[in-house]
Amino acid sequence: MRKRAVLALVLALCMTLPDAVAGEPDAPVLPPAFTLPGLDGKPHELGEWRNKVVLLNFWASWCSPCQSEIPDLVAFQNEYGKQGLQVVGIGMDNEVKLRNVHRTLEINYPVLFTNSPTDPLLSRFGNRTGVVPYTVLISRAGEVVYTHTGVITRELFEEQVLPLLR
Amino acid sequence: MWNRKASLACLFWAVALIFSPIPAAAADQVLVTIGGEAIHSRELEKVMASSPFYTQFNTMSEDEQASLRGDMLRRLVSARLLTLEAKRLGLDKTPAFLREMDDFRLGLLYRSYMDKLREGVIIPADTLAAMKQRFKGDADALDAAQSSYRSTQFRDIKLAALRRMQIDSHLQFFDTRIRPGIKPSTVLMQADGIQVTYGDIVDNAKWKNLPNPEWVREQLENRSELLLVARYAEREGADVGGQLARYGDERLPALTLEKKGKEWIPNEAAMRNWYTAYPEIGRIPASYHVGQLVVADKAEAEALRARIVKGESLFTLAGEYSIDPAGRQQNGDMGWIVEGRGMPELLKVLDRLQDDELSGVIATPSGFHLLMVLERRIGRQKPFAEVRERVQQMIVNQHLPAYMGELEKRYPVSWNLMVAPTASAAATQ
Repeated sequence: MRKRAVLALVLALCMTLPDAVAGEPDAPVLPPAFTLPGLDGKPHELGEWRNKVVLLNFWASWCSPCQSEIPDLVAFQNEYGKQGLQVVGIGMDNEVKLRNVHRTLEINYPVLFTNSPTDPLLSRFGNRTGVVPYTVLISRAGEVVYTHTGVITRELFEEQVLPLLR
Repeated sequence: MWNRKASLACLFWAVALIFSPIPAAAADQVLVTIGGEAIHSRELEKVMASSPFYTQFNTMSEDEQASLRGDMLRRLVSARLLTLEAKRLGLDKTPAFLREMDDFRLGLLYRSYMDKLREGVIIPADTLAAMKQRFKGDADALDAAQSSYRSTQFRDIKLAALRRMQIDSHLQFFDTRIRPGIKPSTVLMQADGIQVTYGDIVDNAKWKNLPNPEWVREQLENRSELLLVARYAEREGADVGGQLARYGDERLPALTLEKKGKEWIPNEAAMRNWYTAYPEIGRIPASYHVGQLVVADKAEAEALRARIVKGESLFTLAGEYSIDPAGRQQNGDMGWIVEGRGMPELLKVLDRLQDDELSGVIATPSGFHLLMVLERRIGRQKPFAEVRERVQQMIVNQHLPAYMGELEKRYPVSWNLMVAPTASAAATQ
């Protein structure tokens, strides 16, 4: 039992993105595996969106820039969903508050939640500072190709995400 | 005064707002009309979105959001009433207000022109590619490099544009006229269609003698640049009418209140008299950090008191015996109790107890208490000077409801609220 726990820990550490992935990594990096509850009441894992271009957006309800970029993410999902884009929100926050923001801003993509602003998932995805919004771009091949701390502007989207959708 | 009709209208309004949150994509609806002017749902949503609590607003439940939205709508109605009154009183026609509006208009035009210049700065493709190569993997550094490049380019473009404007408008400075004896009408800058006089940049009422000439020159250059750029912005079709109107809408209610404030508070003595009549405004109550044990039986309280006197801890015993669940959970630490709030029987004792002294058994309807003051903050009376602004606000607050009532009679308010069938049916009955 103990051996299994140690093995799981080693595997989890191996599945952590190195710091060097910030921006555009030189070599493809596989994202760490996770399972999180969604606001739809079901557990979700990244594999569900295999063969899609995934924009994994870490956010929190108390974070004003996070809220200000959500309408853009909603618009991206509307505009490019048919071309294979899948925005996935990961709320580092309390479920009730996230649910209220989800309703008020009419979020049209899945939102999963950690229930804690200090969940290690953010760090495992290469963000050691804990600053949100933080977005990870995952290609159709399932590799992390770009990470960004701060708001995803349309300019950034066109530069980093659009080429993967063509 | 409340009457049945008004109550029904308000009930309808409250019910409708609570049960009919406005979806972002909903059609624009008239929520309220005030003296013939309307407040639309889109306007309310816009105000909500620009409020400082917008981030928190989104995290609230539907009921909380509806309540906040209702509160904001009431504020909008009050502001609109005060604006209408300002116009009736001619406060929108005073020279001071017109000058303020014109200055604001010039500022908007200037900013609009500069924004346009800034938007025109483009980073050449090869420069951008070099930046991206250099800062690969560091998005923040790339952002900073782009901002720095744009800022340098903007500065050069701005200087060139100003120079071109000055030549095209035949601008001439007469700054040698800045000397003692200068008159408000003395022209210090002349260009096609615009000029700046000494009186435009130096307030004669404030400066009887010529202030530092260098400062005057700086004012002259700033004013000249403002007028020149604003003129070009206008010529190029910049439209700041909407922003200007919004600014006026924000200023006029304040001007009405300022005018009424002078009637309600004619002088300093009025405020001092109010402070004397209501000294509690300056009162900082004493507060006590309290340890407490409370039990249901007097004999048990006496026995526990004896154990504490012999050396046991009130806090350990409170954690074990207190009948107050919160107190037991916190081992008798009641936090800070403020003078005037709480059970009078306990407050009376707290004032007499020394720090760390154990009280006798105190009987209240809640049980039999043992108290100990761990630390205290002494209460005091703030002098008038320290609460002057609060006194001023309190006097205004005292007069405001009656005044708003007067305005509602002058400019009838009609609540035309949301489509909520059940509430609508109730209101028509």
